[in-house]
Amino acid sequence: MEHFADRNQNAWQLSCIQLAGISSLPIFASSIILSQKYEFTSVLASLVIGNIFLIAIRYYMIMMGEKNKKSTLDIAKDYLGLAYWAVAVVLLFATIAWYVTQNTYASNSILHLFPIDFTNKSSEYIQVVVLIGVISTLFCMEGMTLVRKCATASFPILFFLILAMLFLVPCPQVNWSLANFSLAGVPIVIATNLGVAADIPTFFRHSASKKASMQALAIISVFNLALSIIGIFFANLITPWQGINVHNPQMYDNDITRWVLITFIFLSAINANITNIYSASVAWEVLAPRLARKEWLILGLGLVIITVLVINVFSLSWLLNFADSGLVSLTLIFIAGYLVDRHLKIGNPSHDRLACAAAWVTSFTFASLQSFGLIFKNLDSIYIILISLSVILTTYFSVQYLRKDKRVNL
Amino acid sequence: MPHTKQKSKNITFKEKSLSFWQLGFMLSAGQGLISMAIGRSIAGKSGIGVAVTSIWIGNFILFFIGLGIISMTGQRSHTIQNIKENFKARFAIIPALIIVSLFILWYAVHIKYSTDLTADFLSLKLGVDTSDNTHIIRLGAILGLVCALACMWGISLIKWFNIITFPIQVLFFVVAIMTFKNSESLFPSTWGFSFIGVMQVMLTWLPGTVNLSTFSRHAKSRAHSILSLFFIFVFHSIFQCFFILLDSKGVFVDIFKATEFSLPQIFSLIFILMSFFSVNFLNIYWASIGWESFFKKEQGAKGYAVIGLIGTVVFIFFESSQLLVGIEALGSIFIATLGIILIFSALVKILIQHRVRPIDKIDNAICWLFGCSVAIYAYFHFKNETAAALYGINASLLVCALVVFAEELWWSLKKTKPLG
Repeated sequence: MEHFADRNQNAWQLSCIQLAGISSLPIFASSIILSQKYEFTSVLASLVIGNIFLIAIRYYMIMMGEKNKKSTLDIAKDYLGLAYWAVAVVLLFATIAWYVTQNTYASNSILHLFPIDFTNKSSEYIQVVVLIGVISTLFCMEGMTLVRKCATASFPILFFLILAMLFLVPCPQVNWSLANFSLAGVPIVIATNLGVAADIPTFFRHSASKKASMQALAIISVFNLALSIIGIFFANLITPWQGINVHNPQMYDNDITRWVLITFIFLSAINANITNIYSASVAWEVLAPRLARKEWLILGLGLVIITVLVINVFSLSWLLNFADSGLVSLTLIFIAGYLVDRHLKIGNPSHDRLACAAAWVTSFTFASLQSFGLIFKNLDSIYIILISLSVILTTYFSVQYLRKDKRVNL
Repeated sequence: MPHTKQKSKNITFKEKSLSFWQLGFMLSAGQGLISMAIGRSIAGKSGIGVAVTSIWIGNFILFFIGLGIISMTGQRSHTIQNIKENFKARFAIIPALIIVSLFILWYAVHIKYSTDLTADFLSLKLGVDTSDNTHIIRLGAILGLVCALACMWGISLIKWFNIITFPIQVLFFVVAIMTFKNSESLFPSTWGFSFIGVMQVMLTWLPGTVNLSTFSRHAKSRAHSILSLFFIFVFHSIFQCFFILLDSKGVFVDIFKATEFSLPQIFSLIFILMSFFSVNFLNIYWASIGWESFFKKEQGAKGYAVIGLIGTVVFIFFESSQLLVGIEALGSIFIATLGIILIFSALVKILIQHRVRPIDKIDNAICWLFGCSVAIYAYFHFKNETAAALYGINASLLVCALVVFAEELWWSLKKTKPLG
């Protein structure tokens, strides 16, 4: 775990990597979904409360990797034992799922916005996917050093473009009514961001100090909340889980808007891809412990080819739901493991790892089955994960506590 | 088979004792479907007789070019080392870059060719809908990915795969001619000689011949290299006559169109795939030599995978574009011109012993660049690969000859001092 470069990042650099990686079309989806279901005040409150929970979750994720500069996979080894191999597979799968999703949205949207009437849409679509993929691969070839430089240069531009879009695109009417106020959107906000939280230790191991990490957490939280709120105003522009709203072309009928959108989508896709590839690298390290240019190239080009193979073959929501089930349950089991390790310390460490691995596998399985519509169709997957984790871990630790209590009494 | 690993001029490589038949089988099996189809193409335009004479004469000339390349290269040196000896070391990066790019493009072109044929089989025999371009791209991506990953086993895999597939390919030719030969001849049976036909045959394998030393360095001895060259000459010529013997105007489509779904048809598909892997393993290995001269640390299994993956991505990007064919044609001409310059330089070294040596390398580089420039102009002017190759090669040879003429004149004037 000591073989990675670029270990002196300041708060701004750490924040830019996280924010540039998430400032893309899919991340606005949760705000738009909420704004379609609830009124503005409810959405706003849900976003604020959801983000407060997320600050706590991110804090724990940073803290558990802080001591020995651990990556997500190192933490998985600590809390799940040998099951870290399964975590590596899930991380790789999540990378593929997000990579395919990002590139699909970006290609669809760029082709739609580009002021040229393409003759062979399917070929041009794949060409855009390949172009974005190859550029992303080139930016990954120097590992974290280039990822940092790229993100630090891109995030201010991306944020400026988002603000420009806010002025250029007609916004929906804001209704401040409190008549149907509801906080039912909070779990949606948390669930959509929990998957990304699993990767935080992998990026924060590059932090210069604990202080830098905490400052970065503050910056990320502020910008994340701001981006989520801005997302509400893009409800007419973006169709959740599809990209640009193709049925509403009057939203971008002038050249300036088109080019702002194209630049934003292109730049955000590149940044999302490179952070995505970097987060997959920890799983890749299981196979190739030292990552050099060649390994980055194989990983990047391999992802481009896999994207071409799976694009439009598997449903994107299927891919994302499956990957998200694994990552959300992973984040929660990490936090549970961290809290138990820090405050309870009652069991045998190897038994603890076994219990955590069993809880993770069970919750992941149930959440996946639910996301495919096979069980508990009316329940959100976040509740299924929470319930299965709680049942297994509570049972295990109760038994451990009782055994310990018995030993003490004897 | 001894499995040695020795060092030669900073480049380590395995398999240094291949016999003539192993080398011959490796390079004959890896001829590639595009090269095999050239006989059919010439026969369709000019007749069977012209195609057969063009094939044998073209390959005969290639034999001599190969002989020159093997003779002028150190026994354990590869192409780039040969270029460095004849061009200025810093300048050698340009031909090395062109060699890497060209073989990567060949990799992509072979994916496209094999994918199209496989798609023909799937649509004609299994009724799979291959009208959507994305199906072809996906099929090609799978083939390219598998080939790139398989090639991580390196020269040992290339050797054994090609040696095993070679007899199977020969068997396929026999079975195909016995089963699918058309009853009436489709090609005109005119006999004659076509200069263009000879050039076309030469161009299909000229880049391979110029880079032959990359493989001949693995031979037990120079004698084995030269005997393997004889094998390659014979089998390439026979393979290129295959579609003429079959009397088939479309490559494999006639076989797949036969109404009965038979084992020989499946054998045809296996042959296409075998041929694809054989030729693309060679392409990766050829490209890796140029790659290794830029990135010495990057050689080996993962380097082969990277080259294969780049080739696959190039295929995906250019699948529906004619640009790939154009760039590949120009690259072939550049390498052909390079080979001619190398041989000319070796001949001049043998013939003229008193020549002032230090400027040789700069001369060669300038002549080659001039030939390449003329070839580019001719390619866009005539829109014909053969004409461009002829112009490029002739232009570079002419400039080389002019340089020698001027040098010799200057040398003789200095020695005899007729003016003073």
